Amino acid sequence: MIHPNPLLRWLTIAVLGGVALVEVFPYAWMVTTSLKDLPSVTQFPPAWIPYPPHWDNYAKAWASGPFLHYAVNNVIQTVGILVLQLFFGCLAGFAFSKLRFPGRDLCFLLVIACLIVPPQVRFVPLYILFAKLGLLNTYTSLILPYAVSALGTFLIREAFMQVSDDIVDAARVDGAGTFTLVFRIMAPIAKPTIIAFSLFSVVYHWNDFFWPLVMTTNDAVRTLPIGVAMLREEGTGARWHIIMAGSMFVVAPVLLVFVVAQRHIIRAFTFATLK
Amino acid sequence: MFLVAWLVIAALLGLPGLAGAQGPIVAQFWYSFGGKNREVTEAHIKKFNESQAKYRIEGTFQGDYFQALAKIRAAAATKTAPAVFHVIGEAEPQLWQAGLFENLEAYAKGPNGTNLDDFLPGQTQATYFDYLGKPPAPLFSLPFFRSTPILYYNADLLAAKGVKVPTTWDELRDAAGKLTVREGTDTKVYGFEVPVDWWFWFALLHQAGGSLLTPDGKKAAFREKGTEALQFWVDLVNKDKTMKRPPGKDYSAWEVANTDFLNQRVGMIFTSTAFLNYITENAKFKLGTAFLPAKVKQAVPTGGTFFVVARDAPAPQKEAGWAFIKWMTDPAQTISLSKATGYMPIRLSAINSPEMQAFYKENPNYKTAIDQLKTAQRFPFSAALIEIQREVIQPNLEAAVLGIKTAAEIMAAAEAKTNEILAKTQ
Amino acid sequence: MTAPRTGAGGPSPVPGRRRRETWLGYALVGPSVFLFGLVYLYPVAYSAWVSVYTWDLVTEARYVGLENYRDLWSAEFREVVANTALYSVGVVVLSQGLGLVLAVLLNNRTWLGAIFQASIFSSYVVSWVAVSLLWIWLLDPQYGLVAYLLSLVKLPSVNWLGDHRIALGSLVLVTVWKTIGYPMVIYLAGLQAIPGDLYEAASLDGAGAWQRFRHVTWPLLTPTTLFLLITLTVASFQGFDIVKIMTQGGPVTSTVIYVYYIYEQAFQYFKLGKASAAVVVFFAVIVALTYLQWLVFRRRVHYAA
Repeated sequence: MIHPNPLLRWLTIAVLGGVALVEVFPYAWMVTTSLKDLPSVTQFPPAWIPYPPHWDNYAKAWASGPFLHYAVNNVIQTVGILVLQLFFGCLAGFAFSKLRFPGRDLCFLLVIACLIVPPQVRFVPLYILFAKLGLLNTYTSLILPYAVSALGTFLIREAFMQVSDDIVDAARVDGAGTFTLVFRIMAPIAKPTIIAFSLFSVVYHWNDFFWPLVMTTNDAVRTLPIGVAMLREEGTGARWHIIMAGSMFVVAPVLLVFVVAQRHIIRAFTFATLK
Repeated sequence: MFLVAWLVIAALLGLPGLAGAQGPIVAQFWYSFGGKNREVTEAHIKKFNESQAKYRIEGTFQGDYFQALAKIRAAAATKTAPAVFHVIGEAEPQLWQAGLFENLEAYAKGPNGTNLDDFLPGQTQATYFDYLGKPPAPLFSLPFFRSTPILYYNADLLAAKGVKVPTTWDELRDAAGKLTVREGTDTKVYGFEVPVDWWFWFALLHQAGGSLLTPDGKKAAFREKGTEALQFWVDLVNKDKTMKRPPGKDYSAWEVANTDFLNQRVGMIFTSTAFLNYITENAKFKLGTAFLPAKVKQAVPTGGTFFVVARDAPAPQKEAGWAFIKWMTDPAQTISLSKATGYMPIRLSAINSPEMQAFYKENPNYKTAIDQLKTAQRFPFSAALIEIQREVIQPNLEAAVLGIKTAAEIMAAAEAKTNEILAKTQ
Repeated sequence: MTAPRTGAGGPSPVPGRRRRETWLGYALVGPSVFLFGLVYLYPVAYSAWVSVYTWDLVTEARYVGLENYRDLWSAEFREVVANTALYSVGVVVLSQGLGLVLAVLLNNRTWLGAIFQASIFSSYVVSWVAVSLLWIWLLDPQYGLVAYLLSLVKLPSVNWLGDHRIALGSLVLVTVWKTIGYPMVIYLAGLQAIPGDLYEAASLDGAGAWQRFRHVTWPLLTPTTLFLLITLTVASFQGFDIVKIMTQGGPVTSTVIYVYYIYEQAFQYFKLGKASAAVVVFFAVIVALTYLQWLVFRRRVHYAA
């Protein structure tokens, strides 16, 4: 809300500006470091504006490994995971919220139990399993372990429970099949939740370094975060300008997605209440 | 729509890696470093592949040292281990006894063998370990990137304050005091900094005249001198307040120490000779290097990693693996590797070559680590060694410097735990 | 997290329809449950099996019964639980609270607001590796930027990451800094979905700014708040990267949280048995808590749209 009181308004701007500065400062530092040359990186006090800007750092980072290949893999991985998470999440969410069948609540409890099983726990047994099945270094090993999301299923179920039973019944009466009901009627109503969760999932999996690293032993399906990690020289700061340049390849797409998505998020939330 | 979904899923299944072509024997080399070392290694792998047609080595990055080791162990469990990888010395006894490594004696003496006598004493597996009175283990590893800790000092700073390069603990303490600059309660420049880390503690332990285990390797022997070593740090940090303890563990702390040194926030540091290239290139002051100071004697550990070949790999791949590591440890390669990274050459013939002799004349700092090798200490060949390092010593050194426990308490507890572990591994 | 509720879906008196509903339920839930079982529960079961052995992945596994569990009941493990709880509560409360405040302040759709919003969100999408060195420098007690700013206002320097008493708090603050963009954006969306006429009506009734917030904004934000509470709590329990990159669990063990503890035990000490026991314990606790919640809220009626 725009405050009629100018003093409050300036105070608000000051506070927001301060917070924004603190928040964006590291990102700005990332950008400026990516354009520095090596001596400037390690110097102290640090040079704030790199002059001249070293655009070749980006070329060097890109050339240090098969970055295009990694980028493609990263997209396949992130999108593949999201699509499956939403697909399974909506179907299961619908069943958990609108259907009755024996064992339903037990199944749901099982899903909840998966909420805090972290990848470090899943790595060894799944690595061994995938190795035995000959699925190491395939997209399956990256996508399948995340094809279902306990969080996503839970949140979508919550959102579907808000959908009035009348709508469900009306759709049924009109002869809608299950898929139509779930994806054409209920999902759009749960759009805010689905989009908010998607944002969370995309950022997490796009930046995921651990899982693609431990589940792969060669470049076949490796992703950008690993490409960036390979630039690191442990114990020295020798590569930070190139690492930052490499990191920009990872950050830029997500930031772009956000800029586009934020309008959708807000629109989705807005339409939800205008029933 | 269901059908589409299943098709998508089916499509995402099993995109296998590039099928192996007929032709050269392909073997995997798993390594766990990035940055410059990675580039240099990959360049050498390429050169190896181009230099002959029988074998082809594929090198891949596997994360940091522990992630790589975890994957190798998991891979060993499923018989998909790479043919070649590298390990830190402290891990070798346990992994050797677990049957992970191929015995390389026959390879070394065979047609594509290598002259083991040409290797630098202190660098090889045989001179790295103390076999505790038992028959030595056969050759199963060749040195890769090897290093020792050295003293780096800011020659300009020392000259400005009229401080001599310390050669004993007392001189170090003295020098650190003179180099420290304080403004009120803030310390602007510290005299000395070293990561509070097993490797440097091991050095101090031996400099004080102690050793890790008894000669038969059955019991801990480090309590008294280990306490002295740790107490030295405790005093420097908390009493004199002339030493900065870099925060973070493992390589994070090492990086802070290096950065502080380059930024002239500290006058002297102990760190690996592996960073000599990096520090030399980025120091905006006159850089000096020296042996680590002595107490009762001069002593340093060696560090870095060794090449090993996996015992469970198929025979042709093991052959390829050996050919690769033999080539990598040949004099020509050790010279090019050393010059590109700053790690020490591992062959006598390389060090004595005119090329390297000229190089050392121009860059005397690079000679320090090599000369210091004559004071290199051996590690006990015990399967418990890695556990002692990672679990008993390394995580507990900090507590003394932070003042949570005394050095004596920590060493006493460490001794008890070590004896417990040793009893289990007998 | 809220308890699963019963009774959604309406009465279906016709037995044929009931059977079809059951069949449909299984068909829809089946694939999910199968996958959850395979990729989540199988590893947990595997951990349960490994937890009664001592195993380092290479040597022969040695059966040790409940020894790992007995080992767990130690001060070290209790500290991990405490650290995890403190970290989670700190992160969730702070990031959600501050996120709401920021969203309220930003709720004006001007171009300046858009710039601020994008700036605040930028840190959420950047990976930890990229900003870790920066933070280690920023927090350096000797010459970091924070130390410099503190000296400007004559405050003493703080050893943010090197003092074992406050390191965890530092990590909480850094985590909040990094993730606050997310609750801010979600709350912002929730706020802008509130129809303006509700505020007008409230103003006409004489409600001041705070009362408008309490009686209009806050209640209508409840679903958003719940969504964020769950999401942020789950995310905080999975916290790992920040510890791995910034403190590696130190100083001493003051920043070891649940996931990092398991990683350390499994991959740095190669004590898979002990790590597995820790996994089983945490898993059992969550299941027990959730089940308890379900029992208690069994009869609760869910609110309609």
